[in-house]
Amino acid sequence: MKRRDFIKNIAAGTAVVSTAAVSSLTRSHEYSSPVRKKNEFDVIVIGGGFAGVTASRDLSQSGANTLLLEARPRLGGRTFTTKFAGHDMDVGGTWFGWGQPSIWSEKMKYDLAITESAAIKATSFVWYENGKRKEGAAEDYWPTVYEAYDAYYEPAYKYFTRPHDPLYHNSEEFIKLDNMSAKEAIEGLKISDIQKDFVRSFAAINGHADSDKSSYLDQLRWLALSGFNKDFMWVNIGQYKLKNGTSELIEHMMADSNAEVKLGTAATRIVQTSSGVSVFTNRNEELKAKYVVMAAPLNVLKNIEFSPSISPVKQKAFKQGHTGSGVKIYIKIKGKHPIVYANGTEDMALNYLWTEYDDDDQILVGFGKDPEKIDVYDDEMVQKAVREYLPDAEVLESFSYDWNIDPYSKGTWCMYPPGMLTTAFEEMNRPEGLVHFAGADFANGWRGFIDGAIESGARNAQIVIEKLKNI
Amino acid sequence: MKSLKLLLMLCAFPFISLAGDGVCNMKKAKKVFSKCAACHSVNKGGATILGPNLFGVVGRESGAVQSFPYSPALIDYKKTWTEAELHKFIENPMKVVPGTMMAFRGLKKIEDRNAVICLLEENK
Repeated sequence: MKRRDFIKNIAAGTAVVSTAAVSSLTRSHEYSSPVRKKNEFDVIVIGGGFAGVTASRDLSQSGANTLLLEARPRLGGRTFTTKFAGHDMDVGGTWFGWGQPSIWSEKMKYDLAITESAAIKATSFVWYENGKRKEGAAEDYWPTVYEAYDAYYEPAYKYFTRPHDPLYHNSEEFIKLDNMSAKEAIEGLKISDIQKDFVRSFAAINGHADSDKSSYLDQLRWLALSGFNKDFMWVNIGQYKLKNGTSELIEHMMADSNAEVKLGTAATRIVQTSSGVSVFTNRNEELKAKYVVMAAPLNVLKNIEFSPSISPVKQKAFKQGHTGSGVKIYIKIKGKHPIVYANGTEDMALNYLWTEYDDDDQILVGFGKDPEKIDVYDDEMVQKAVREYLPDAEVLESFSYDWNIDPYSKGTWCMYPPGMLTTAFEEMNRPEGLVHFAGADFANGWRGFIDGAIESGARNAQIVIEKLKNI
Repeated sequence: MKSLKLLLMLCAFPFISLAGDGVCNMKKAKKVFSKCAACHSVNKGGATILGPNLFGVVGRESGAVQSFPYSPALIDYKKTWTEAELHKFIENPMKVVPGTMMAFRGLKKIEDRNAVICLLEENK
């Protein structure tokens, strides 16, 4: 089977891809169990987002007989490339940068083409001051905003000198900052009220929720991860994307994998005994393995039953979940326009809106912290939200995917609520017996990003590979 | 007055779609369907993007696309996708079929649902 056909089969929703079919794609491997029983594996990886795809690729390449279990009819998790307005467009995780070591090395390895958000060349800036719409050039907008960022990020210089080792500077003061919400911290900054509006809006987009929902400390990581450089932070979080979408990277990683794939199958119960782990599914199957890598999103873990039960700290964190619960929407407006970067206040329907594609009919991307403030399927509401920034814009069509009601994500990207980093993060990453936890929401470095998913998936795969050697 | 009559008729008989009256506005239909098209193809033999291909869905049994891994909830639904059933489902899929994987809050406006069903009728 050719790689393209294999990918097509996955796209066509072929529920089970046999190991034999996949192994012809790559050189053959020695499996650790030469005669294996049906539904018995060395490792079951639960969740086919970037963490699960990375883990199952690495595990299967090491020779482990691996099953990748995915609840949806497609791989990619909280990334999803689809066609909209003639582009391969990512409606989930999209941008990444060369300050993100795990994804950038995959991009280099598979030699994937990148493109850039049109907004990098924005000439028109729109923002709000005391409820009034303002418009200007970059030099009218950025200096005020950057001065506010400097005040906001000040503790990062002290506490995240090793940003991939997030608890390195754990101390009383560190815990205090973690227990504080971003909103609370912004209140105390010595900046103007307008600057506070800017930073609150920024904190709300970063946590994809009210600025009082996320931990101030957790918000500070992105600057540190970008070498304490504000421009470079934006390079990493909003500039580059894969030209053919994130699905191209998933396809390359899967073509390199020997893992068996089961789509449309959700794990509902994990039972550990002295002889191994059983994974029960929503299709009434029992699948067995020596180890499990649980790579489902943090916000859905509360719906999976663990026997014996997992630690109380994990239970509490899984119940609490991450903050990401806002909207992201692509909007095509009529005609050619100047490239815009717009930044409103936190409470607006869309608190950020920028040109993503400088087409003849311009395509914008917008972010809002609260789905209650905008029904993304109501064209009139979308038009109204856009006109708060661009009064003459005529919306032709729009598209948004609702990650919050998707039963297999129950949210968007991960930012931790106050206290989670210092009280639960370490424990969340501790395996429960034979079950390891991985994912963007568990990452050390770029937590909440594709980069973090790959980092965490690769690390957990490596730990399990070592354990399998010692059986 | 004429439009009021039409409105009353639509309220009283929400399942009588405009499509059936031969008043199918394809421009409107395509615009509304753009919210569906990112996940569903509608052309004959179209690929599974995320949800099942919708070619010929009107009048089809639910859960009928071969090789698509429907949720157990939708497999158990066992209905025929008549216009009336489609109206009900598209308005709030997750309420009508609890446990569906279709992450969609629904089209709340009857004219939007009419437009989509109209387009689906055309693609068979």
